[in-house]
Amino acid sequence: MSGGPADRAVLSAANISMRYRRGGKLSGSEQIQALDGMSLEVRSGEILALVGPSGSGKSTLARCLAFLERPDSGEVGFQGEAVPWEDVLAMRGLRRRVQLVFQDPARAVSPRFTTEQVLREPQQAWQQRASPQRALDWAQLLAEVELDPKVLPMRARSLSGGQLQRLVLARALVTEPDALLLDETFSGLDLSLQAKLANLVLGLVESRGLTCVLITHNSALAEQLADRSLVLSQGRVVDERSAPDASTGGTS
Amino acid sequence: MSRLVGRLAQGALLLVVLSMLVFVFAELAPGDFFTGAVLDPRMSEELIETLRLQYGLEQPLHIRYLRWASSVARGEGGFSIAYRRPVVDLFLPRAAHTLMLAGASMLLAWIIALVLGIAGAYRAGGWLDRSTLIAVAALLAIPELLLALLGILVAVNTRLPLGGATSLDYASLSLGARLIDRIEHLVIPVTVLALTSLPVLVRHVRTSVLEALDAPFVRAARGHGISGRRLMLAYVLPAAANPLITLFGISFGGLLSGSLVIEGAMGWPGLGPLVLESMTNQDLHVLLAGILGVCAFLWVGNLIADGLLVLIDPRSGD
Repeated sequence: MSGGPADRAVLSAANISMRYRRGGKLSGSEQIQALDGMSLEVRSGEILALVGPSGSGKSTLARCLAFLERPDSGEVGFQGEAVPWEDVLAMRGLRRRVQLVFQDPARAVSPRFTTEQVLREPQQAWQQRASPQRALDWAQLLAEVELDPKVLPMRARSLSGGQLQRLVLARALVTEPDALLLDETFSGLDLSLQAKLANLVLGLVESRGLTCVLITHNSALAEQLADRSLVLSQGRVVDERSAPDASTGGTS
Repeated sequence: MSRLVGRLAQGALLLVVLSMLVFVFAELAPGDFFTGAVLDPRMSEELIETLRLQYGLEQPLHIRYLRWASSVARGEGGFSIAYRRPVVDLFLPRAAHTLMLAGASMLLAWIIALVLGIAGAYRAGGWLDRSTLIAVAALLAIPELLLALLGILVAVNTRLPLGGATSLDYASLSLGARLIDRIEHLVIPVTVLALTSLPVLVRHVRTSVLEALDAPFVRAARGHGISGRRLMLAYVLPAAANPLITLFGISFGGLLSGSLVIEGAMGWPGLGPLVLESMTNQDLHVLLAGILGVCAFLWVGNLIADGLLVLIDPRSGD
């Protein structure tokens, strides 16, 4: 999927703003400007880090880039075209191509589903609309994220933190996305697990030719993994840094 | 199964302790059933003393309690001095009416609350959501009794009957006409009672669904292109169900105690007027049966809710 020129934008945001209201309508609401005219481009095949302190609009940006929330103003683009927010069916198809992986995997999985159901749900939703029916290669998918097939009949609460994180990654890969957004995926893990998962993700990006957006408050981690980093503050991009050894951009 | 037996034993113990408490509190209150009789010029002091002895009111507390307990064990449920009859005979027909009223309004209130709460949360901030919230706030501010009066006003201006559970000529009606007659008598009391419990239910349903809609796993499912209907049915509603089932259990008790007030105001021949009367004239055994009845009802409601939770939640079966 990422065979295009290295500088082509997979995802883009043009001057997007987003505002939240906190508190009830009657109790004097306070407006929070989560995104304040932010613009950025994610190039095909790159690993882009979005670094910023909490409250800098990282997670809101992630939800906008995953097409889950529509910004109040500005445009979100996918492969050079503006996202058609009004077209519900088209949006459903589009969402599967950019997958967001959340910070807390335990809350990102329905507690009622077994591991197998968790993985089957997105596949079924996708296959309902895809014209060529394709069987999912379970064994391969689980091997890719290094998850033991024994966990398939188990429910989320009986999995370990690392297993959950791998499960959530596997779920994101089911619909064969073009881009992966990792929202603080590596925070709150011990260092050895963090390193293991980071290597796993790097391997996936390489083998699947994914574009990856890494959202983190940890600038050291960003420097280590990313080709390029954008520093966010108060809903804007305030700085851009390129990794010295990644001047070629695309990895494939 | 052993858990169920444990719960039943717990409930029985609860009722025993509660009955003792009621006895003690009634003892602390001044006077007894015959205190008011002193004012009656036809009653001589000797007569009142004889009556007190006859009904055993002069005996010490623990003896009176044991006599009540043995009466319960015989299936009489105590003895009403005011009606000179076993409490069971007074209670059963009235309890049927109260249960009919409470059950029907509970059903109505939950159906309305689920529809409005889920629809409102699904389009939070939309016109339906906002008008529901305003209506619910207004309803919350209106006292139960005023609602009952409004219900009476409606009854006066429509053909709907009010007072009693059946018409006077009920016995002469055909089977179909009897059913219609009963339903007609239920309409206004049920509506009023449902309205009193509605605000809390709507708000809880709305909040639970909103919370579930905001959960990361629901967001993830949206990200996979899962349709809105499947999203609600397989993800949001099951996640929102647990707190609502617990609330369902609690709402049993609230509805029954609310029903006692409404019954008095609207002339519904249920337990309400009987229990209120027993409170003012200190007909202790009737009062006791009323309090224990409400408590048992609440307890059964919670038992049902807990059973539902076990059934519905696969996590408890692992």
